[in-house]
Amino acid sequence: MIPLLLIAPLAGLIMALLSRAPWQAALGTVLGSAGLLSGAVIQGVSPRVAAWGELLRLDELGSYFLLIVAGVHFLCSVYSYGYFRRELEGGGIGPSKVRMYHVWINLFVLSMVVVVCSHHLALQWVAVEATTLFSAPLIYLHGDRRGMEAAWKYLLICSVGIALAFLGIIFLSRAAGDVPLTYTALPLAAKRLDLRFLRLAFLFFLVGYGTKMGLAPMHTWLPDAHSQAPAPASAMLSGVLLNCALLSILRIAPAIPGPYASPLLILFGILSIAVPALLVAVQRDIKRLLAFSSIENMGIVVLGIGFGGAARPAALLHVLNHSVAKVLLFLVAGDLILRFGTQKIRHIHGILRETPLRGVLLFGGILAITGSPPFGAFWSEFGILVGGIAGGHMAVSLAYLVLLAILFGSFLMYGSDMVFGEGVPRKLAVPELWCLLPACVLLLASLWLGLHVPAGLYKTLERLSTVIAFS
Amino acid sequence: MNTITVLLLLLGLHMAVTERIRPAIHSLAAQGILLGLLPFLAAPVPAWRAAGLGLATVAVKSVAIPLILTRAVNRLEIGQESESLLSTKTVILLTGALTLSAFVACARFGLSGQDRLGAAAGLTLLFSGLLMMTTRVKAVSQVIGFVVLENGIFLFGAASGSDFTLPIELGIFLDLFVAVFLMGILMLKIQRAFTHMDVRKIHTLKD
Repeated sequence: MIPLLLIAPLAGLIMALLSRAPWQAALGTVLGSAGLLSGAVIQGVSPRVAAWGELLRLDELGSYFLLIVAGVHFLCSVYSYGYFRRELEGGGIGPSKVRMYHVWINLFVLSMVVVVCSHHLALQWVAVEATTLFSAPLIYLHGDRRGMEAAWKYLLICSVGIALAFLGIIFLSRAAGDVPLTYTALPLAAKRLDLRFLRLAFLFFLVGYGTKMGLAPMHTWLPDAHSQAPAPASAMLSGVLLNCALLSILRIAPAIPGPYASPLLILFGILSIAVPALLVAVQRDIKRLLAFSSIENMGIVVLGIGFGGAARPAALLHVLNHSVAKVLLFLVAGDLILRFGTQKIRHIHGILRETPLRGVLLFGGILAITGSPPFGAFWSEFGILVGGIAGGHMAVSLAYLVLLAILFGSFLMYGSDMVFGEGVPRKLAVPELWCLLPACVLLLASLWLGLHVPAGLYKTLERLSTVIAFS
Repeated sequence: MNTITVLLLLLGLHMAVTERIRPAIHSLAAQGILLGLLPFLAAPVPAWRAAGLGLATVAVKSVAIPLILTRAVNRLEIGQESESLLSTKTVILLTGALTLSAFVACARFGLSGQDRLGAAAGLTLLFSGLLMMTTRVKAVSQVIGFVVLENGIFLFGAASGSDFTLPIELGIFLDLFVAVFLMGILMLKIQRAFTHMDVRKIHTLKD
């Protein structure tokens, strides 16, 4: 199974390299992503461990993250066909750059597949570093100054962050002695590992991969990078790349003593919710707004993992809910930016009056990302709150609730301005089916996850949360 | 082993305080060669593996990366000075303090003898690389700082006796190479778009 998962993005890459026209490259990416998605589904519905050599191994936790990567990649590659066709028509980008987009996005996905399949923690590190390198060209795809600045910051800050995570791996190998650094061998030997080095390793993992995850205060690169990339790439960066960094932290969890790790996770979690809560209110750029919301949501997930107990399956569920809602928003935002010709929030208004479907998608996405019922994120955010209170973290839970309310208010303010405000008469562009269809699928998925959390999914997540429990 | 460690440390300190870019690149290349010798001396690994790792180290760290950096310096026609936000005196004092704290930290962790020297030198390089990345205003110097930081971690790992399988270690080298390669390309593009390489002036993105 694992070779198929690796071949699918490789096939997309080869088609992109051989293609002559942008549509051929796009077709390659769509076919590759469809192959990846079917592989992930086959692997996901019948839980079993697939292994390939000693370096790659796909367990249930990996399958869960892989399914999210594959699903988002498929929808984004359908979307990117329509998105770049529009941009080509508008003259915002040349055909060779569109081809380059497809080359890099397939490499990017390939590196993420290796992240979720890595059995050896050092290989996982190599793959996470590769995700940085393969996504940096996507950020400066348009070749303008702002994109370059964002890409430069992204490369430098994330490379340093990842270098610190590597220091964590060195400490881990010091702690492990002759125990191999695999996520199956480490937990078994957890009790006889050197505690001092183990703690140092976790600290460096949290700071290093936390940089990549966009946890405050290491988040400074994230709003720039996520706002400058083309919309489908932004969606991938926010929707799935952050999850991959999270998975890297989760893999080491079973070897780390809980009383040491949980307070650190809670601290970084609440900090990453507080910083966006303060900064979201002054945003003028729609994609920066969404990027800050990604920092917030990663904070919520980390907080939930730190709370432990019932909050942990909810945190894993939030990973899925965030991906669904955030990708939806980035896709709709990309469409709106092409349509209005600006990323400035105050220039985008009256969407509902002009094209009701886009208005519904945007407003639904905003409700979904802020955790309002009846969307999926409501249940996961609620579950984390319940878990926090049950775990006796009253003060933090209260702060979490207040910060969520502030964020909800800010988002609702922006959302109602953009969706309901006065419409500006402009030439109506025909709604691009390829752009709106993936967004509709995501909105329905979020709604479905809110009206009815599938029992099988929740049971799986409960089982997985014992896998990522601290020793 | 100790001689190499001390030489690595001295070259690192040279880069940390020098104000000229070309000599810094030469020091970086020399560090690469020294690091390439480490696998032969450090752990008792099979000769073919040591040779593979040593060759990969020399190829990436003392040939490819210095070449990319030299090319960038030539193409960009930037001045030889590598301006810092701090004065030379402050940099020397700070580097000294960082070196001292690295040695104290390693002593506190109960590392002994050869291990301690290697680990402390590695940490010092890591710190001074970070210092270069944060205080130098030219993009080339920031990349040099990044490679110094990586070298520090490499030395630290060798002293701690961490040992991964060969594909992983080659993957690490490949990552580093691609990172510097991309940074090189970006430097050229930034130069063309902004007509300067002073990162102080690149800040259009903010909240």
